[in-house]
Amino acid sequence: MQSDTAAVIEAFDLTKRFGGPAEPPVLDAVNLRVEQGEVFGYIGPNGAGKTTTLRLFLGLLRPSSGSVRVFGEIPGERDELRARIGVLLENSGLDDRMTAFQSIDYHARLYGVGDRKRKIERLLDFVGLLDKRNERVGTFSTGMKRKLGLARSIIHDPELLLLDEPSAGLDPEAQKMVRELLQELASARRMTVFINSHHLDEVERLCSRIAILHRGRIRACDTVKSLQAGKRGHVRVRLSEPHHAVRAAALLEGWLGPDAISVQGPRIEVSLNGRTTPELVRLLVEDGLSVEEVSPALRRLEDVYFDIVGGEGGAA
Amino acid sequence: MKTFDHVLTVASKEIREIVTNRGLVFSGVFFAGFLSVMNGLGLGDADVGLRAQLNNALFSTCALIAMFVGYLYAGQTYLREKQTGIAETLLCAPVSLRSIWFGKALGVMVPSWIIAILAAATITAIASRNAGQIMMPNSVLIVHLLVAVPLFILAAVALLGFAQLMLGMRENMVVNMVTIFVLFTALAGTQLIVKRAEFVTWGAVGLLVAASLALLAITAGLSRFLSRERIVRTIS
Ligand SMILES: Nc1ncnc2c1ncn2[C@@H]1O[C@H](COP(=O)(O)OP(=O)(O)O)[C@@H](O)[C@H]1O
Ligand SMILES: [Mg+2]
Repeated sequence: MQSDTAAVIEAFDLTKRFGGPAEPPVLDAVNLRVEQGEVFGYIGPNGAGKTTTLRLFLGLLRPSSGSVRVFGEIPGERDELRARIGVLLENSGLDDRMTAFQSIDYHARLYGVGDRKRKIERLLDFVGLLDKRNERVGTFSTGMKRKLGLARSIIHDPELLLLDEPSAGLDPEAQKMVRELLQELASARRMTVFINSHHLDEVERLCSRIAILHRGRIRACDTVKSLQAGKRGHVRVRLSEPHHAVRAAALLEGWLGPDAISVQGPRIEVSLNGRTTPELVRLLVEDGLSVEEVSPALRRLEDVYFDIVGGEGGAA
Repeated sequence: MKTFDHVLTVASKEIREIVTNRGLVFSGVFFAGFLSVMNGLGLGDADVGLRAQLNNALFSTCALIAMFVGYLYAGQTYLREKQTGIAETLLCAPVSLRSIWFGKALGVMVPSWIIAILAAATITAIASRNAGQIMMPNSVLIVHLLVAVPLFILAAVALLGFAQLMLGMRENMVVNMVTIFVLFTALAGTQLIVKRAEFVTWGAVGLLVAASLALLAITAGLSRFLSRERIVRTIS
């Protein structure tokens, strides 16, 4: 399944165990391919294995079996590979005792960034913290720390950005700000971005493709649109006249049973229960109802997610 | 060259963290001050002369005070960064584990060594007052304080830092207790030998330098067992 675009991350049957062979693996045969320029969302409930996956990408953990390649290399073998990656982990990795400027400067030096002062100030300005550059991180709010962490993660212009729950613990306003920053990074700088999250909303807005992880396994992996359309046997019927909807609903209820119908204004969502769309249209038209449109029913990402992870979604 | 830059970057960051932290500076200075004043006042009143006692004390006590302060700062440098999870982000930087490990040891050594020099000055000053004349340390002691002591602290902190990176939290508690026990025993032990015949010789200094270098080499060899996975999995 090779495609034309370059793979930035590839995982082949990636498996990680922390316990003995009797215990189920934390990550179980994950296959994944993230391409250049993609904003990829990796969602799943707490404990699904998202952070473990990221650590495997970073070479902070070694696979128990299977393999992973980042830019075609095995992570953790060469220090140079790490220079191409930017990270913001769950713990922002900032020292409370250092100032905002010092925090970024330390990493800039370790990554061998030149012209540091100018670059750091431009980034601090980008995340709205320039006036706080000489204040200690310990005085910052969680949102400010996350923004500072984000600024630090891109100081060396990485080609790949790995983010672990970038908006966890933030208030809605700060979440929005982080999301907008990420949007800007992805579009303006053409970075490949991989986001761990359990904020469906965030992922839906930011990501082109997502994978849903549950108990160490990928249960779905596709574009947001395809995942939402994946409700087979469900159609949405729209009638030209609102009052027709009531009649149509009664008719369909007699045909398919009451559970198969749900009316939303002029639209009716129908579960076909094995019947076909032409049959449905014929039934309605023969009764003199004017059918405007019949389309596949789109599901909300949230429904897709909860169908997969069940009650333990923990989505915020 | 890159490795050298990384070591210096890590070391200078740690030095700055320590010297700008009032609590750490205070506890280091207080501890060293207390021990050196006690030591200085304890000199005299023995079979051997004050000169010999002073030399013995400067030789042994200063190295131990430095190590005590080094132990105090190592916990802040290695263990604290690991426990708080800050270290994980550092492990994602294009820096070798050895550069991180050694840079931190260097960063702890410098302020500990400065405090050791201050302790030596304090002991000397108290002894001079007792003797009623200024007593300057001889050339053996100057080389000791300028070469052997920093090497000794570096080796000890590097070993301790290695253990702190390598081991889990519970094991580290044991390591800490053992370290404190060893340090107190050694401090008590020096009190017994300070008032005996002078043992400060070029040979003794050379021995300490050789032992420190050997310890450093052994720990550097051991550091091959350090891995990012090992550190990440022993965080909690
Ligand atoms: N170092 C470790 N040792 C043992 N178990 C671990 C370790 N790290 C993670 N786990 C376990 O692996 C599972 C997945 O964890 P994680 O990857 O952090 O999930 P997520 O990031 O999706 O919340 C959890 O059950 C967690 O307890
Ligand atoms: Mg996680």
